[in-house]
Amino acid sequence: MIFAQLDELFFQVRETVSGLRHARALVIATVASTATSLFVLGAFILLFEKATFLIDQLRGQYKLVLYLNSESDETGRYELETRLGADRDVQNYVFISRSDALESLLSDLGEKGWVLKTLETNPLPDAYEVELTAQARAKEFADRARHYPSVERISAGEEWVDRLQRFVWACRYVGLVLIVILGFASLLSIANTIWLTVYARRDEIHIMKQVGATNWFIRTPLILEGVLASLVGATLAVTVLWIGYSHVASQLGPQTADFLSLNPWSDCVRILPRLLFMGSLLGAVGSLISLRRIES
Amino acid sequence: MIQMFNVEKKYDNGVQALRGIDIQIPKGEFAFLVGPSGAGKTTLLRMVTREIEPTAGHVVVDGRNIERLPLSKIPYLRRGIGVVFQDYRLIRSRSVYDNVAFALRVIGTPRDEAHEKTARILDLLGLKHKSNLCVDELSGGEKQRVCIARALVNDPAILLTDEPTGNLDPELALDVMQIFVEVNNRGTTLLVATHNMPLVERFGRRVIRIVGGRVVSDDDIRPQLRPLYDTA
Repeated sequence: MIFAQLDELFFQVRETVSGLRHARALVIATVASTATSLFVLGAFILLFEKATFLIDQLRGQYKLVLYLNSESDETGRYELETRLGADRDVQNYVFISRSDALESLLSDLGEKGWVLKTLETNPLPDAYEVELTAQARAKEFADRARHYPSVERISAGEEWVDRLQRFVWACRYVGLVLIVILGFASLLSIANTIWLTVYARRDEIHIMKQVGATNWFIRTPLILEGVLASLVGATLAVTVLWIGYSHVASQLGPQTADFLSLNPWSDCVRILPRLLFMGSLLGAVGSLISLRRIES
Repeated sequence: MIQMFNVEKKYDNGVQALRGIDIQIPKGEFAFLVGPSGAGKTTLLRMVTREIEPTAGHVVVDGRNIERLPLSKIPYLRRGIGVVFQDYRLIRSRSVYDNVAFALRVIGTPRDEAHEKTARILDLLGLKHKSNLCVDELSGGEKQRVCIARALVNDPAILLTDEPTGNLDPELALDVMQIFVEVNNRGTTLLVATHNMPLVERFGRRVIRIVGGRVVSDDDIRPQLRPLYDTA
C-alpha cells in the first residue's frame, strides 16, 4: 500500500517536472509575472513598515510633561510615581529636577541664557517626563493626570499627540487595505499567466478525464507547477528587492540610512518567508482558479 | 450494458440534439451508430461517459443510472469505458509508449503493471517497434492505432468510437475495423459512430440509425439476428 502511494507520488512529481520542462516559455512568464507582482508587494510592505516605524519613532519622541507644584516634596513625588506606575497608559516616566531642567535650558539657549544666570532663584519646577503607550489617548491621560497628587499643570499638545496617534492607525489600516488590494491584483496577474499554461494543456486534461483520472490527480501536478514557478518568482522578487534596496540605502548615505533604520540584508531576509508563502499561495490558488475555468 | 430510456438533450443554445432515445445495447454487442453530421451521434456517446447529462430520461450503464452518480464516482465509471476519437487526441509532447501508459498511470496503476500492459497492447496492435517515437512521427493509421491502444489498455468493458475511420484511407479503415472485430470477439461491448456506410454494410452488424436526434431505425443487418431487434 505504501509503495503504491510512493509510486503515485513519484509519478506526480515526475509529471510536474515534465510539465515545467515542456512549457518553458509559459513557466518563464509565470515566474516573471509572480516576480513582478511580489516585487511591488514586497517593496510596498517594506515602505509601509519603514513609514510606520518612523511615525512610531516620532510619536515616541513626544512626551507629556507633568509640572509639579512648588510644595511638592519627596512624599508627594512618591505618591505621584505610584500613580504613574499603576496607570495603564504610561509606558515610561523620568523625573527631571528643577536644577536639571535649568541646566538643560541654559544649554539649549547658549549665550542667550545669560538672563537666567542673573536670577537668584530657579523659576523652573520639578517635572516628570511621561512617555505614553502606543494605544494611549493622550487627552484622556492628561485629564486624569491633572488630578494626580502634586501635579500643577501638564504641557499642552496632548491633542496633537492624539491626532498623530489617529494618523498612525489610519496609515496602518490604509496600508493593510492596500496590501490586500495589491495581493488580489497579484493573484489575478499570476492566475491569468497560469491560465495560459493550463489552457495549453487542455487536451491533456481532457484525456486524463476521459480515461478516468480523478480531479485531484489531474490538479495536483498543475498546482505544484504553479507553486514551484511562483516560489522561483518570489525568490527572484526578493533578490531584485535586495539589490534595489541596497542601492537606495547606499545613495542616501550611512547617517540617513541609520536614522531611517535601513538594513537591506536583514529586512529582505525578514520579508523572504512572507513573500515565499504568499508566492506559493498565489501560485496554488492561481492554478486552482485556472483549472476550474477549464473544467467548467 | 448500455440502456437509454426516453433520453432527450437540449443544449443551452436551444439546439435539441436528442429526442426520445430508447435503445438497449447488451453486453458484448457490436453496434454501429449511423446518421448524417449533426444527427446526435456524438451527443449520445458523450452521454454514456457522462461528459454531458440528459435533459430528460435516463442513461443506465452497466446497471448504474449514471446521471445520479456523484461527481466523485464519474472517474470510476470512465475507467470501464474506452473512447476512440476521430482526431486521435494524443499528447504530442509524449511518445507512443507514454501516450498509452499514461492512461494507466493516471488511474493509479503501478509502474510495473502499467509497463506490462502497455507493452502487450502495443505488440497486439503492431506498434511495439514504434514505442519510442513521438506521435508526430506517425502516420494517420498509426496514430489511430495508438488511440485504440490507449482506449483498450485498461481492458474496458465498453469501447466507444466516434468516426474512428474518418481520417483514414479505405484500406486503413478496414484494418482498424478488423481490430474492433477482434476486440469485440473478446467480449468488449462496442459502439461505433460513423457515416461510412460502405464499411457498415461490409461488416454487417446491428445498425442504429439516428436522424435529427431521433432513432429512425434499429436493425441488425445480419439476417439471422434481425428478429431479436424486431420491435414491431
